[in-house]
Amino acid sequence: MDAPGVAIEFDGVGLAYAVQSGAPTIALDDLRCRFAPGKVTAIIGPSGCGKSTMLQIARGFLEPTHGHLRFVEMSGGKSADRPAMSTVWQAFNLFPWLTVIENVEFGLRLAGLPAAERAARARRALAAVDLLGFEDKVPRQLSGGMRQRVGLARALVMEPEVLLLDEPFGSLDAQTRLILQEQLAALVEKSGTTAILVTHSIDEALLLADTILVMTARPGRIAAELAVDLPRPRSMATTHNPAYGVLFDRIYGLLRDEVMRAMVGERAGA
Amino acid sequence: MSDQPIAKPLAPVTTPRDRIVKARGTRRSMLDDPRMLGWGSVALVLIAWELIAILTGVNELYLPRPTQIGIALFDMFVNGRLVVDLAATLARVFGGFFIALAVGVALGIWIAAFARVRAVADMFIAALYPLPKVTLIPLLIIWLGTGGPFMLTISALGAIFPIVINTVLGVRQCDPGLVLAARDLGATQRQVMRLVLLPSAIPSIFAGARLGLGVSIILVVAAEMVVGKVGLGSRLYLAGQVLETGQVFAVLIVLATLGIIVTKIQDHIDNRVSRWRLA
Repeated sequence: MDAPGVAIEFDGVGLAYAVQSGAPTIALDDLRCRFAPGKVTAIIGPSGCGKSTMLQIARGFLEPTHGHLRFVEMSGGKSADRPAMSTVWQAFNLFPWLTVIENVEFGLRLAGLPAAERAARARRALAAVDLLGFEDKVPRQLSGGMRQRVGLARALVMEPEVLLLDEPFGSLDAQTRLILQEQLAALVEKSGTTAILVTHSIDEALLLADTILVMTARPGRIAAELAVDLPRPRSMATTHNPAYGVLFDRIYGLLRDEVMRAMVGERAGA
Repeated sequence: MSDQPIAKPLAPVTTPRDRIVKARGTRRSMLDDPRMLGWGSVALVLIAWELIAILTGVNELYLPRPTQIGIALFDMFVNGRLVVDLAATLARVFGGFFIALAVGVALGIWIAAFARVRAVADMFIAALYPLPKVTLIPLLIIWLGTGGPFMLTISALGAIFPIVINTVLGVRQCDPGLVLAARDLGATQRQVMRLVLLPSAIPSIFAGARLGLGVSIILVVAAEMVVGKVGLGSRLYLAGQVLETGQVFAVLIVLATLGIIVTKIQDHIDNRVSRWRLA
């Protein structure tokens, strides 16, 4: 594994919230893991286990209260600066008063790029997510799936070294989700970008990831780290691979307690 | 079902053309048109007012006839004084209002963005907002005299509180996800304020500006009545002093018309701003 680039290492990272009275709440506890460059790592776990919080820590929006975050040059092992990162959000977080292309150009504008270059790059990113022709629409005129493709274009246009995907398809319907998962898999495979994917879908993790971190319920710990050596390119057809079933069962086994609890809750609610 | 087609023709079939033909020449047509009804009733009241004033012979010192008010209004416009008064009042109102808008929005964003600023500002706003601003007129005259600075200050003072409060509200209601997204794309704190908090607060800011402008008009006219030499308020007060009741009514008509125009313009702006909101 001598791919160039910077690995993100969690070295005993923990996060505790102070509460009004009593002991502090521990959200994340003693995380040790490495996000390798050029690889897709999925973080999967029950709701509230601190998956998204891990992304916020990697992004630098949250400081861990315990342990360290390290950025390590793959060739030579020297410490490096935080690599450039862009996030795709579950709630899309598009600016509703800006058009599609203005949303995609937002980061480039902040970086002070000239208008012509901004427009050209934004158009290329929109083409990559199949949204050419929608430049002048505003987000509320688009379907959920299209909005998230704008979100993806807005992140990709920054040409990040690391793409952070925070339950990117969590608020989409099942069919849209399947199609976008396949598209994203193809996009990530083609670009070879480093990605960290937070999800609660085992299928999504298996379709996209090279490595899967399975988390426990709060306080979030890493229960297991699994290598996904399914052949690429992956698609819905990959689900018929026997190795897929084995991995699925393994992850499901690890998550079962939480999944069962969620199902009981759903049945009670129905 | 075979009897369904028969049931349909039983409903009265009227095309717009039918209605026009049928209604022509009947009294009903006028009463159906809301514009006609509105203007017609105003005209009716004016005619009744004119007739009753003539018949009862009421002194025009107390109640001038509409025709006399019209003549007074025309006279005041033609000899130029009222145009000067109107211009003076508008300059004071809008001068102060735009100062309040610029300062109020900046202040509101600052207050909303920083908890410490908010803690301080909350006390001052709680103390000053409910205070009737007319009560500040004597103090402001002592400090500033009765000229332009005084008028602009009283106007700005009236508008600034609703603007600040609504800006704070608008910024606080901003989706925190949008702030995170902007920071993720490399926005500095300053850029977050200018490019995310401000635009997302715009509908709320306009609502505040709308309230503020109303207060500005009230305060400027009130201040003019107390100290002004020109302006609609001073013209109104002076006309009252010399018992020119026709002129008093004429100024009231100008103020009412001003109110209608300002409201209509604000409605128009509101319509455009509401497109800004999330669906």
